[in-house]
Amino acid sequence: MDLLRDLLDKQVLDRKQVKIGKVDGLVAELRQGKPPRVVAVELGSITLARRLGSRPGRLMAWLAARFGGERHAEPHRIAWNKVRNIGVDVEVDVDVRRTGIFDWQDWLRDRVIGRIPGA
Amino acid sequence: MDTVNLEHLAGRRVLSLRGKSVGHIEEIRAEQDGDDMVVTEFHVGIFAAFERLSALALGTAVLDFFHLRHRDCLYRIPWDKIDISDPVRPRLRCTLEQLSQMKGGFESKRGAKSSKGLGIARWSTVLRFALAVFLCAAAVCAVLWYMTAARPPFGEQDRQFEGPGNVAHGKLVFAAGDCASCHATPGQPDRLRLGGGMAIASPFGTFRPPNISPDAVDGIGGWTVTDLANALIGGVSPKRDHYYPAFPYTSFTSIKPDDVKDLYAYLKTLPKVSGRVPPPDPALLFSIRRSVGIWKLLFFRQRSTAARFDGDPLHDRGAYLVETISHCAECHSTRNAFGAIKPGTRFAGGIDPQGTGFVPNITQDRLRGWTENDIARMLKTGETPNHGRVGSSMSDVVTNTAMLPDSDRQAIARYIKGLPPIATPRP
Ligand code: HEC
Ligand code: HEC
Repeated sequence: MDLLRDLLDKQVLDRKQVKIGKVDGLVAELRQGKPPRVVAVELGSITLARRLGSRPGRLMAWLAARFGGERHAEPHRIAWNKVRNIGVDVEVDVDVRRTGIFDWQDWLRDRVIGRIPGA
Repeated sequence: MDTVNLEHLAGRRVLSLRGKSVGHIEEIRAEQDGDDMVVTEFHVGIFAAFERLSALALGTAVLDFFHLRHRDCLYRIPWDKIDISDPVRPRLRCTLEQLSQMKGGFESKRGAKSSKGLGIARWSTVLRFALAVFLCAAAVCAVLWYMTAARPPFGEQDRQFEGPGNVAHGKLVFAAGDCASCHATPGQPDRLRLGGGMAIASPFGTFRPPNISPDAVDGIGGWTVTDLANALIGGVSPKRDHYYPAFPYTSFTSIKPDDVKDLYAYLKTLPKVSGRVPPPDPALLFSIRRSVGIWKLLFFRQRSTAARFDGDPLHDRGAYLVETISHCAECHSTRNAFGAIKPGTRFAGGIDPQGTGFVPNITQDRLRGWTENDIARMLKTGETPNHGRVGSSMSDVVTNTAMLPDSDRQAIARYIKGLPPIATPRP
């Protein structure tokens, strides 16, 4: 498999076929004397920002932590053994509601959209 | 566990042992190994002609965009021959001679197109990022625009304002609300000619209370009772604009619907005055009425009141009069940089809204020597217990409170006497 072509930036679907983001990063474990092993895919703005350089990455992590709490200071990771099917989209065996990935959307809904009278 | 993020390798220059560029990573090949997915080799492309320019990621992207780059050859380098422990600076682990045996030939046409090597991956990231930022900004703007819209709280069909109002009671609401002090035409003695026009200078510009006489053209003769309710409770005009908070709807917002009805009936009985008032001249920040919507988001809670009730009918009537109708706190408090009352200074005094004088503290910090009757008497006659008289804008207030029944003045006095002491903030 070609990791950059076949995996990076592909749409990720959860167990219920909910679109939860894109493969923004690939984490590999470096092992002594053995080839690097892919251990996780990463999603979210922090990973995306890190691709632009360490400074944007730090800024985004700070923003996320500032607004989302320490829980959001790190990118969202999905372990490689949860990756089920890699085709046009990448299917993973997780339930997005049990992750923090949609937290900010929930936050937006509760704090902003929900407060708009009539919305 | 020692980990690296592989996406950082996309498009990176690989340096030789001597620090010279040997090409850019175009692809990372991985294979299944039991349950694991392991990296087996890296594809590194050489672009001799433009190598120098492509040192800049942007240069690479531009070249790619115009299809100006032609790959001379592709190396397939086994995983252990590149050190990726710092994925931003991948380094060759073998000599250039060894490297030359790893040439992948030119079969790589397909690879060149489909791989995300070189600048493309980073460039598309830049674009995606810029797009995300742009969309976020647009969404914030849209939400803000939506949230700052002036929405009248009541529709024309609202039942609670149905039926005729009580004119005699409306007259008392009018007096307690001190409406004439702002809306009476200046320079003439009749306080019931509500032609407006008095200039209220403030740090936020000059505001002018409009003509609220029943004149159909220049006044509010064409208004319905819900229009009046929307103005007093929502600070929203029939044209769906925000009013400036120089109009103390911040206090009026908790007015009872019946009082609006009675006030409306009373206003209808007053003389018509023709003539419109010049438009307000607000400070730049507030020159667009929409911006008052932001102010309201921050400082205005529709239909809320700061009143504290304790079950004693006289005290609670006083709470309603002081906090809502007579809006005593609008003058007797300190305001923040945006002209909103600082919560901790309510009734503790402050610079007057015009920014020229100091309005005294009327909490028990300063009025301890006043009895309830002293306060009630001052509201009727203007006389203070130490044989003085209140002056300036308070004398206008007294002109109005003097028209209230004794019980209402007593009620105001009880509530004021019950205000916990707060030290006067330093101006
Ligand atoms: C502190 C001065 C002040 C007091 C007291 C005051 N108003 Fe006003 N009022 C204003 C100002 C200033 C405006 C114009 C606000 C603007 O231009 O956005 C205004 C606007 C209005 C309007 C909207 C008129 C229009 O043509 O859109 C109405 C109605 C009104 N006031 C009624 C009242 C009533 C009723 C009372 C008494 C309960 C009252 N006001 C007390 C200052 C005052
Ligand atoms: C338009 C602004 C304004 C409003 C509204 C207002 N006041 Fe005043 N008040 C003043 C000013 C100014 C003074 C100081 C008068 C003076 O210098 O003699 C004052 C003085 C007083 C004093 C005398 C304090 C002292 O130590 O001499 C009392 C008591 C008082 N106000 C109570 C009230 C109550 C109760 C209300 C509400 C029914 C009220 N005020 C509404 C501006 C206002």
